[in-house]
Amino acid sequence: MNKFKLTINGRAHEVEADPQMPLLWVLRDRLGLTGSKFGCGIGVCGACTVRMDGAVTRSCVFPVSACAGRDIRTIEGLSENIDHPVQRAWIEEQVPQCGYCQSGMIMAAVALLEQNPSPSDGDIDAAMTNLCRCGTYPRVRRAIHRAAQLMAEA
Amino acid sequence: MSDPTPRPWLVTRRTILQAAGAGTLLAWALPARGYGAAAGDQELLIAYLGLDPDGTVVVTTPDAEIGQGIYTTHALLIAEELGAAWDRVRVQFSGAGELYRNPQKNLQATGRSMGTTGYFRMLREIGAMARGQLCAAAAARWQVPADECDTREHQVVHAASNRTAEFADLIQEAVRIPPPADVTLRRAEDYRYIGRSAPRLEIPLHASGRSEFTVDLQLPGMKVATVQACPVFGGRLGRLEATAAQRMPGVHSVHALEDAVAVVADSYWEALQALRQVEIEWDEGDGATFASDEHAEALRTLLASDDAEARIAVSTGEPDAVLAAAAGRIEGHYEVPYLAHATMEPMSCVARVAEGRCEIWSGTQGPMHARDTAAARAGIAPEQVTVHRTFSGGGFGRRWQRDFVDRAVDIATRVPGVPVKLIWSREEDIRRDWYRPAYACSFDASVSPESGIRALKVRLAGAGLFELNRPGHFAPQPDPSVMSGFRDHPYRIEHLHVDWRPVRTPVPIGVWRAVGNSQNGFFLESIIDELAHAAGRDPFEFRRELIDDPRRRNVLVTAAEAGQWGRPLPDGHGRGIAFMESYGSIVAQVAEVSVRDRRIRLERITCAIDCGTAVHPDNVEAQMEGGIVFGLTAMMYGAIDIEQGRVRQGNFSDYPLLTLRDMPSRIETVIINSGAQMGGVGEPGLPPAAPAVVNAIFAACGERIRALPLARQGWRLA
Repeated sequence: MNKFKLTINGRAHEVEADPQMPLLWVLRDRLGLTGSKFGCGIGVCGACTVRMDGAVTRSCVFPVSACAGRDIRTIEGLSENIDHPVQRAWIEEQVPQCGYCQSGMIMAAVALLEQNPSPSDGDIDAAMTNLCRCGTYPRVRRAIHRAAQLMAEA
Repeated sequence: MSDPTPRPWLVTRRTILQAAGAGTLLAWALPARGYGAAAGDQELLIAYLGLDPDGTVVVTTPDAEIGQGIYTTHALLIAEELGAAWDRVRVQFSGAGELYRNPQKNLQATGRSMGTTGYFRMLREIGAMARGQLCAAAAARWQVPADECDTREHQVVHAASNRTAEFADLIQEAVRIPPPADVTLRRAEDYRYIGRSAPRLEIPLHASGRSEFTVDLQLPGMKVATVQACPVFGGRLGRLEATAAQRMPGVHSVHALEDAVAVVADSYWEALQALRQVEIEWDEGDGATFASDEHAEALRTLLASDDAEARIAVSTGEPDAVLAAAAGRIEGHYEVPYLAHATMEPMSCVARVAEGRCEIWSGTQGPMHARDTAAARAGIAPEQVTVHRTFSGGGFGRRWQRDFVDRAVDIATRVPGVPVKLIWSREEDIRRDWYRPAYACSFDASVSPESGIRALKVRLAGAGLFELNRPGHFAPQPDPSVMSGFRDHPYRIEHLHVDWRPVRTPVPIGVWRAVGNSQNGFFLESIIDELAHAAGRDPFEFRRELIDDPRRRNVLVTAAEAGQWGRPLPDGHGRGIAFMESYGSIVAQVAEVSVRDRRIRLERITCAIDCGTAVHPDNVEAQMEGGIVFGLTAMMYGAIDIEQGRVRQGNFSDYPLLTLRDMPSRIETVIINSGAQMGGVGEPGLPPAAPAVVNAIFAACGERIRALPLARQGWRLA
């Protein structure tokens, strides 16, 4: 076990963990931040998506030892009142079904929109590789367009 | 964590008891409405509806929220009659119990698309009873007749005197008034919630990561466990060497279960690392010889055999004689593989066993049998088990099974007093599922342009879900799970024979979204399409002429019109249509695809549904979208292969799902509110999806697809 200093949603945390322990399990089982979900454990499904220095990161395969000194952002840090433009768009388009993959979807969408404030369908297709078993994809696409509008109006 | 105890109607249970006089709760009980075990009205109210001192309405849903939106729909039904303001309604999950049984199936169980239809009347009556109490309280205060009062936006209103009173201000008086014996439900033209799409109450929770799934639970002193079962179905644990695993950091204990090994640790990851270090010898048993490709071959043999046990599902006219005499014969053979559910949240359950009591926390689709199985595993009475429910990260029938509860209780029994959160790895989830059974279907038919279908013989072969542990139970009738769609098809076919050839399998099989309809929709609607083309007819016109019932025909026509059937398409494009009625709802879909070099692009899918009354239209659309994507994932990729008794697939890398980039640019749904008896919506969107697309592929390129998934035959999505 080693000690790691992490910055998560702007707050400093110190955790004790095996250096190989993926960030996801540090978040969930050490720090109680359960918004990021476990879906596959191999970095495919994206339910665990967080942002690291802005970049979309599959936290289930990202070792905690590589996180020190980096700016980690999770769904919990997106907004206090569920009013980030992407969250508002998600609510307006009534996107989630079971909801399990949606934290990861939203984090991926936030990253996309920061890099590309007005993405085309093709841009969205290329960026959004998260899996959803309920089939919310058509609404995810609509919500990203709507979030782009909300952000442009702000 | 959700509160498992029924929320008292009006303040607290104690208040009610005091108000009514101690022990007189049952004296209040009016003649039962036939819901629950002789439940009185007061008991029902307490079970489903509470009003907090600040006026917040708390609705208790008896169903699992697995993505179908029942969390909102149940709240909406009560809010409608109660006259609640939507932003002052909250929902919690019930525990397990007789009071929570779905009146339509006499069981508390989430499935068969019955969460709305089953509770539709009862929840409105409960809302109306509470409205009656609040109106009576206000009427007494104002000295006006109670029937002149109504509720609206969280107030009792007396229109004649222009007076209003907030629900919260009436609690103390209303609690002393028994619920009315007779309630009048609101007229459809006065609905404020039913038929409109109030924002779903669970969505802000999901959009903020705050919805609590079983894997998210955190209890004082809790440990996390993961498990590996014998990779061969029916196998058992031989011996294990766990010394190294036991010493690994964060590990609490290693446990030998009957057919599995479990590790309990501080975190899931530490448990998983340790589990991988346990040396295990399995006693694989007879299941180790099973291969799914040999099973598929056995199904083919059964279909070809004239001696095999064949249970007749439908037999009208004289198809053999007609076929023998007729020209225009056409035959075909269809196959589908085993499928896993692959819910996004792997199987999970929290259990704590101590001092003759057991508590479980689960997203189960069957709370009562979760309770009963926990009791059996813990060796205690069901009354000693408390079931707490959470959001479920997908269900699709998988969480109807009880194995994840059994495992959690087995582990928790070995660490008394410690709450154990069991999380399966994705690999365990895919390899220890209760699979949609593999099926094969053959047909022999005769058609002509003038008379349509002269005769049709269909043979189905596969395992029956309800005969899994009791072969022959329904003989000479087919297993009820296997004939969906073939018995209740809408077509006028004078000479028709459908039979089922049962087969045994060591593979655990179970309900999978839309159950038998999932494969039969593909078989039947592909066959009908083949017959249309063989008769030289347009597949839509052919179907329309064979459907006599106006309601069903209207759904077909609506889908065709919305999907612009008949409108010219570019080269390489094609449209397909399919129809399927399931769970009381009628659905037709039109798919438009483009095909080039075995690369398919889903251009557009149009869906028409008649579910009688759409209680929450936006959610009906969402369920159609979800059902279509689920069906098309199976069509494109879904296959579980078993070799030497082991499931070969293990994660989304080899059991892939459709992704956002695979979506058609448009999925549109047209809802027909026919007012006919209400049907479900969670499953009916699925069955027509695959046949609509394969029929469109045929229209686009002339290739008939008779086996799924498409990826197995070199097809790719563009």
